[in-house]
Amino acid sequence: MTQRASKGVTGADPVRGEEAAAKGTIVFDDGALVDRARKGDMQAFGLLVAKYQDRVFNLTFRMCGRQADAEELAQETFLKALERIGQFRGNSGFYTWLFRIAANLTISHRRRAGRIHFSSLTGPDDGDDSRTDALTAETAARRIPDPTAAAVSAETRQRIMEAMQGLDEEFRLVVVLRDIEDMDYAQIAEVLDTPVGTVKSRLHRARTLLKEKLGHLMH
Amino acid sequence: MNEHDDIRLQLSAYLDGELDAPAARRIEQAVADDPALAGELAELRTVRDLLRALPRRTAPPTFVADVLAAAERPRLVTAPHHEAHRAFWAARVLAAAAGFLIFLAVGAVVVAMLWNTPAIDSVPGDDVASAPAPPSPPTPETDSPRERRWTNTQPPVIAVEDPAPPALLDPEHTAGDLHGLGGSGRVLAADFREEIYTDDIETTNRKIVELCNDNGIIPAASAPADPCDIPEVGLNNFAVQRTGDEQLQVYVVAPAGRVQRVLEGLEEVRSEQRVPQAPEGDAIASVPSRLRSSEPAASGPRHADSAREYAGEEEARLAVAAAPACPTTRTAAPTPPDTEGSEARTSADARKIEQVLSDDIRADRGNGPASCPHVQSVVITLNLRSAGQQTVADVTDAHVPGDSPTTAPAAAPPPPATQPAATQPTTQPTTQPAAQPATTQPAKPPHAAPASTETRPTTAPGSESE
Repeated sequence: MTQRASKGVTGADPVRGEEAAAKGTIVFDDGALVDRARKGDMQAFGLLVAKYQDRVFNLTFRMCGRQADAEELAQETFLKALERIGQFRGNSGFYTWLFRIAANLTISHRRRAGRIHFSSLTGPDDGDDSRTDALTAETAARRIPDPTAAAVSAETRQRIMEAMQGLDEEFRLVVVLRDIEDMDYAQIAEVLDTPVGTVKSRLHRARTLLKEKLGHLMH
Repeated sequence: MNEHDDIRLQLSAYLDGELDAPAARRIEQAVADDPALAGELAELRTVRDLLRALPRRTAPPTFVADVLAAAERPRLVTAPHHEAHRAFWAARVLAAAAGFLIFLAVGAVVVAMLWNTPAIDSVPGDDVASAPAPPSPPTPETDSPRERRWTNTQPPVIAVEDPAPPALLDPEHTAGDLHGLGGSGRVLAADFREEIYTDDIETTNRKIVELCNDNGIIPAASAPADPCDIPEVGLNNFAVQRTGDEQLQVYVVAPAGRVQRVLEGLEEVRSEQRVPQAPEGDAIASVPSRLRSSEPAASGPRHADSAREYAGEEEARLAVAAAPACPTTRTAAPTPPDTEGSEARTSADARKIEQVLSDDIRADRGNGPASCPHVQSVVITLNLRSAGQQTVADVTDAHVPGDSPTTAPAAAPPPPATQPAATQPTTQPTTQPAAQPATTQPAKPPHAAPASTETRPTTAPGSESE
């Protein structure tokens, strides 16, 4: 029946992963949602947006460093994805494809904006709010074994962001994808459409540059 | 590149666990043998940890709604522009074709004159065949814009002059238009119907869209086939459809709480309008349309039968529901058609009756009682000021003391189409004896008259018949 068949739009056809089940959340199968979105089902597309909004936004924010620009770029990413969803063949993961769009858009954005940086008096827009703080603690607890390392001050964050903004796009992007998005080299290579060897060398180069920029924080 | 440099380049990959076992052992050995290399590895690890300690930023709460609104905007808002664009190019092509035909005709005339042959007699005929014929005078049965469009003998010209759909709804239009949004074709009975008269439909529409977004309701390209498909928490539904240059509808299906907040917000939107709205204190606007539409079909409202001529039961219910929502009807028919309706116009009673009727309506939908009690729907109709005010003013003028409730609404001219001749057919039905069987009531030509026109012959006679 049509009505029942369409119920998947609102999540009747979820795939429950082990992790998601443990957390009591529902994971939607990207393939099914993409298929529906391709047919014009905006609810399915909305679910895809809801699923990846934070990751895409985090990527664009860490790339451009400004909340407003990041929002605009993230929104543009999804709109571009919707526009081209018919071209998505499913050879790669949807989020990989999505990140490729986001990466290209942010790089284009940076190139359009040129090399001129307008630094605000308060530094990069990385303000604290309760939600961010909670996520910071969660992220730190998850990623950094040493609890003291979680106590990264706002000043340190600002310096890290400034150092990141000083990197060229290709270096910054590979750092964001690896150290912030936690992608492995193969995934990064897929997003950037470059060989894994290139990812390896770019990442090493990026970290070395950051090491130099953050020298005072190294010890 | 010597071996030392090669090892240094591999440090990051080693740190990330991206090396195979032999390569990793080689790095470990080199680091153990070279303190400088070990120091470099430690610094790289620190850099990595600092980066990982950066907080994950999250998208703004309205991000999904913003994206979907942006995605919908071109399709929904500019759809008429696309149509206009197509109509524009179609008109250009047709104009070029017509010009070419005229050129041929003139050429034929010239040739005929030059040759001085009887062919001249055939030229006017050719001319008539190629040029637009004079429009036939509208008949009472075909007096709506839509009917005129199809009965006129010059469709290309009409398509340019009047490319828009009928300015006001008729029941069929109401029932069918969400098909175009990709829905299953089934239109839900709206729990609420709201009408707003405005000077600027687009701006008011944007406010309503923002109002929906603010309440977590995002646009959808398709109407939900089943109201229970709307989750309590998560993505909800609204759609915008343009029903003419002078009217636009926003169709919202969402959890009841959100719908209520939208309804509350609508009051603010309505208060911002400089255009006269529904009469103050008229509780119709706040009474769920399920109550207004709850008049049983067996009681014989003629408009219900009329609607069923070309719509299903659900659409007929919707058509009935649409009738009292029009300010024309509110103004012109100060006396409620029946006592039950009068009682229903207090919010307290409305809630009671709503509770009683809701199960029936849900049963009608096939969902069974209370199967999806959390979902409500509302149709918000935005009318351009000119249409609404003209109607209200005309009806007010027409409703002179001494007029019976039956004749007063009948005297009102049709609201939007600005076709004076339309008064005639709408008057005729109301002057029919009330004893005329309901099923033969010539309320209006099917597919022709707008909804507000529909209400005039239907509401008052319906009350008379009772």
